[in-house]
Amino acid sequence: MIQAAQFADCLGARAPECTEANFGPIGTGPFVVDEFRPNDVIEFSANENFRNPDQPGFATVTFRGGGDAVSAARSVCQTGEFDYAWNLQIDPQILADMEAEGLCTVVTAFGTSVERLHLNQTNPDPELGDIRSTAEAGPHPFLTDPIVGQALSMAIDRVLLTELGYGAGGAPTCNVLPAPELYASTANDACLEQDLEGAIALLDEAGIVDSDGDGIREYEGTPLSVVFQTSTNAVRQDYQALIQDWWSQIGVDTELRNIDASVFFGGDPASPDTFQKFYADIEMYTNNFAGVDPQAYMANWVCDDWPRPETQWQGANIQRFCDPAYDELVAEMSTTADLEERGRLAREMNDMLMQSYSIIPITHRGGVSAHAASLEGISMSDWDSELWNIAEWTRTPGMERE
Amino acid sequence: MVTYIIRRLVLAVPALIFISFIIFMIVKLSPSDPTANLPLTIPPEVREQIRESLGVNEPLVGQYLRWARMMFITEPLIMLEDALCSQDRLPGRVLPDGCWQIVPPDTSRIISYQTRSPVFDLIAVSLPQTLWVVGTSYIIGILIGVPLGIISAYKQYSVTDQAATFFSMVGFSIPTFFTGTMAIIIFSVWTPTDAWWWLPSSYTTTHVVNDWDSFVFQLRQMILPMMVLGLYNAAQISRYMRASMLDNLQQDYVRTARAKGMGERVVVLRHVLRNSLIPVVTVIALNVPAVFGGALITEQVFRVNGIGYQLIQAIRGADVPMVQTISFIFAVLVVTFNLIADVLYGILDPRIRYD
Repeated sequence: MIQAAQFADCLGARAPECTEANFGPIGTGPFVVDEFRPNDVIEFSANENFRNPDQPGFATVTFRGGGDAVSAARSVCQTGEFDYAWNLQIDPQILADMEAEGLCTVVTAFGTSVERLHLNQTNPDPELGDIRSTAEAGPHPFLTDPIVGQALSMAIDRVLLTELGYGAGGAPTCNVLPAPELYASTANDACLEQDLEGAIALLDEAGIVDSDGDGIREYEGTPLSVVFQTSTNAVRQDYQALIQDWWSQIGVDTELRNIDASVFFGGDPASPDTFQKFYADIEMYTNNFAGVDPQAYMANWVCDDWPRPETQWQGANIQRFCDPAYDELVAEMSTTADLEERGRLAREMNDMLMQSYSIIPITHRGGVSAHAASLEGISMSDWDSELWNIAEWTRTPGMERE
Repeated sequence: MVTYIIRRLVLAVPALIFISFIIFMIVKLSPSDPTANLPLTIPPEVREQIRESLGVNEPLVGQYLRWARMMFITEPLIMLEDALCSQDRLPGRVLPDGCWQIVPPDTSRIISYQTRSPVFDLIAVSLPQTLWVVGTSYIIGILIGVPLGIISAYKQYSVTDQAATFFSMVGFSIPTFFTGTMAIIIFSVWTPTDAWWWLPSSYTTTHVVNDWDSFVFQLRQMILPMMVLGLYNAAQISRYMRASMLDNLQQDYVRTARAKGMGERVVVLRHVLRNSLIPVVTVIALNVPAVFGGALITEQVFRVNGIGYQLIQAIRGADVPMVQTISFIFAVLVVTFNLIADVLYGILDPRIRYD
């Protein structure tokens, strides 16, 4: 919540200019901003007018940015210079070793984040030039066939990947909508078990076989060769390498690419490497939705939300899925109030996406954070900011510091 | 000498204007959209208004002139205002009574795409860190490197020379991200936090030095980055110093000086050192701008929010005005230190006086 009076002159085109308002917004939270240094630090002190006179439990908060996840974890778990570090996407073993030193406690919470593969439903062939990965390019030569997607999905060992990449901070999943419970489908859970032989049999039965003896299957004459891209990140590159190996075992050739996260997610319409442009066959990233209601999130996959040149490549239907029956369900959900019915609709939409195999979910990711052992009152949630109850945080009695 | 300096300064003006044009154009030619990082919920017509207000729809030359006016006129005048006024600014960049407001408060300034705040405010925040940490470590590097180079050249192949060579090879060949992380592990992680030799692993940029204790704290948080950078700089400088000293020690004039009965101290420190300093001065002076930009790995490791770190963040965020401005500041540093190096030649060697 921000103050209307403070931002009255900052609307529309003037939004970029309101430095003072943007750097020190007046709200109702437990802390107020003392100093804001972009890319570096924000200093807060307790809000004297906070609604609860006994809170917050700290006089000041220093919020440091920059650096990598390992050094953030180190500053909490090893040097004790900081009390809380979030988004610790590092090797689970390293984090466990740090926690074992006793200075910190690692906490996780699950929301709706799912690490997933998107299978491009349009043709990303570079020879098509500017129209590739758009409606004009036409459908993808083989990824629009659910049989191919299903075989790719069956070849993946989600349990192993998740254990290796995220440890306690992840759980294997077969749904793009894994939570809240009401909306989570159980219809696709068979995917948790890797089934390489099943995948091979499936492709053989469908007549997608290696006809020219080069070890790669052909789909109506087109070899099953895919370009698989994601952002640069140690865990994602591990996922890529393992998936590449499994796919090669079922006769699918995979070329791996990784792109710097600031470019991949940067959304610059002039860059060919953004996840929205999707100039590849398959890409992997994590997405989630804020809040607990999936209506807006499930509406991501309606036909007219494809990223395309006319929308400056904005749009949430990244894999270019389109099914009129799905659009009808989206419309129905927007006029349905009954919670049970909404649950059914959301599950049905999830299953429709899953059975199209245009999305292959892999890992339900939790937030991983670490807090100093002397910090109490933390109740981490991935449904809101991790700092939602920072007013209630206190120092363990007897462990106060200066 | 004075005429020479004046002539060089006058010549520097068109050079810098030309450089600024090239930098502006090169950075500008990279595809980037100032609204690309804004939330997706902003409607297209508001996006267009924002682009309009930042002037990115004008022709390139117009954009350059707009930027140059802000860079060369508005921003220096605002700095002048601040220098003349001892009080803090009021909201809306209005100066309090008794101060001379040269620039009207609503004059547009160079705005960073990333943070939506004036670029020069960001630079003013990060420059002190760079000067403190990188600057002092460079001075320490010189103070260690020059004597070390002299000694190891004078006592070539002695134990001291071998030790110095080993030291400089280590400093030169191990990258700073490795020495930095090692230093953190040794002095911040393995050392108990209450020991007097424990050192903080990250740099607190908001720390204010106002008494002895806070000065000690400042010193402690500077030690690790200074150690890492100082090692690298000292290693580099001592190698140049040694090589240059060795060249000069073989010269005839050294034999002459000794034949005249001069003491070793005078021969080495007055005759040889002075002549050997010319190439070293070039290296030191021309490396200063590189030090400002090149310390960014160390800045990243110790989270010193310096100017190199800001530049990297700006490049990653496609923050065109910030990249243009910082690059231009580096260009100014290169031109300035070139001039300083030339003047120092004249002082060291009377034959080079350029008059």
